[in-house]
Amino acid sequence: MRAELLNKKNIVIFAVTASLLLTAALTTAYAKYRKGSEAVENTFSAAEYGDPSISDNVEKNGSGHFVKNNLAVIAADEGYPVYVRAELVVTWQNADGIVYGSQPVPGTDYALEYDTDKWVKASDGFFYYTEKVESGSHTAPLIGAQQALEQLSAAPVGYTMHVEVISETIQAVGNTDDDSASAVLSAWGVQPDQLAEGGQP
Amino acid sequence: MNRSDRKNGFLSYNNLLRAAAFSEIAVKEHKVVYDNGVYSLDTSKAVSSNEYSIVVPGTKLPKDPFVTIDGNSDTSGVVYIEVNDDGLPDEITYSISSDWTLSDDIAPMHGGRIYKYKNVLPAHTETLIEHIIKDDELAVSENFRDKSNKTKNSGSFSMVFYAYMIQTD
Repeated sequence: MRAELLNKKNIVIFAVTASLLLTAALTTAYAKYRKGSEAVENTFSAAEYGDPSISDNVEKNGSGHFVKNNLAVIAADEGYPVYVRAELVVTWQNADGIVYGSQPVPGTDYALEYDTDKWVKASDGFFYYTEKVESGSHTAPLIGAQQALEQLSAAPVGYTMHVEVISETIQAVGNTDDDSASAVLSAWGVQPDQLAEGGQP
Repeated sequence: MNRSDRKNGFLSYNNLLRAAAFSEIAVKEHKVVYDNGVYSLDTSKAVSSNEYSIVVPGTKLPKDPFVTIDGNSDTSGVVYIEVNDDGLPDEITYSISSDWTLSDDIAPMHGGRIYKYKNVLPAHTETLIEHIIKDDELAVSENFRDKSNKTKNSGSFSMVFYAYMIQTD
């Protein structure tokens, strides 16, 4: 009786083992090992462009004439360096903002002293700052504390001198798709950090 | 046969059933560092994700996914990568290295494209496969726009890589 029981047990063990072996063999025949990795994921966001701002000082001189100085451009804080250019548009305007028919003449109606170390006036009329400006930083003054854009002659009756500062910035990194030019050279036609030191306009 | 013999006998059957070892596969890339409008790679740190939060037109974005396979496999294997860049703007371009060919051997598991590595990896061979992306960089076109003037998908988007290894024997 005991021997018969042992035989039955052996048969069960043999059957289980055989079925496991068969399963393993079939698995090998019909499937392959496959391992996968965790993901590598990147997220990207476009940079933002922010307009520059101006800091300056406007006062009257002893003759009651217009004086502007301490004029600098502040780059927006967007996380990348920029090149800066600025244009000074000098006009006579009345109280209603009407612009007089002729513009003030440099050297006659006003004098302009500016920082020729860091700024260059190009033939397109813009003053170019010759260094990259870090995000959120400001340029050296275009017109410093000891310099000024100062009115020299009396304004037409009913008008006063106005100076509008137009400033622009552009990314100081990156190139055209064919790598033939920097972004600034492509957009502005000049490479500010390679401009020769300029003189007075 | 005593009880101990039977136990040993059963253990020997278990040994017969031991599964063949197969390699672990991983895909990583080096950490990107941003400084003043320019991204670079810190090759001392391998990571599973990178964020490029200030993408500027006309620049290059370094990205160097690489695959590592340990040497534990008892069988040879083929390596595949899956790339899901569905949301990539037209203004961001890159090429997969010529070591990889577009493949339909296996179905993508994450909705991406499958590429097959040129070489079959022998058993018991630790392997590092680098330069999956040609020049390890993405090119951002000069026409890519900033967030306020964005082009299709350019505001934000993602790119995901996976790696697989399948036995050949």
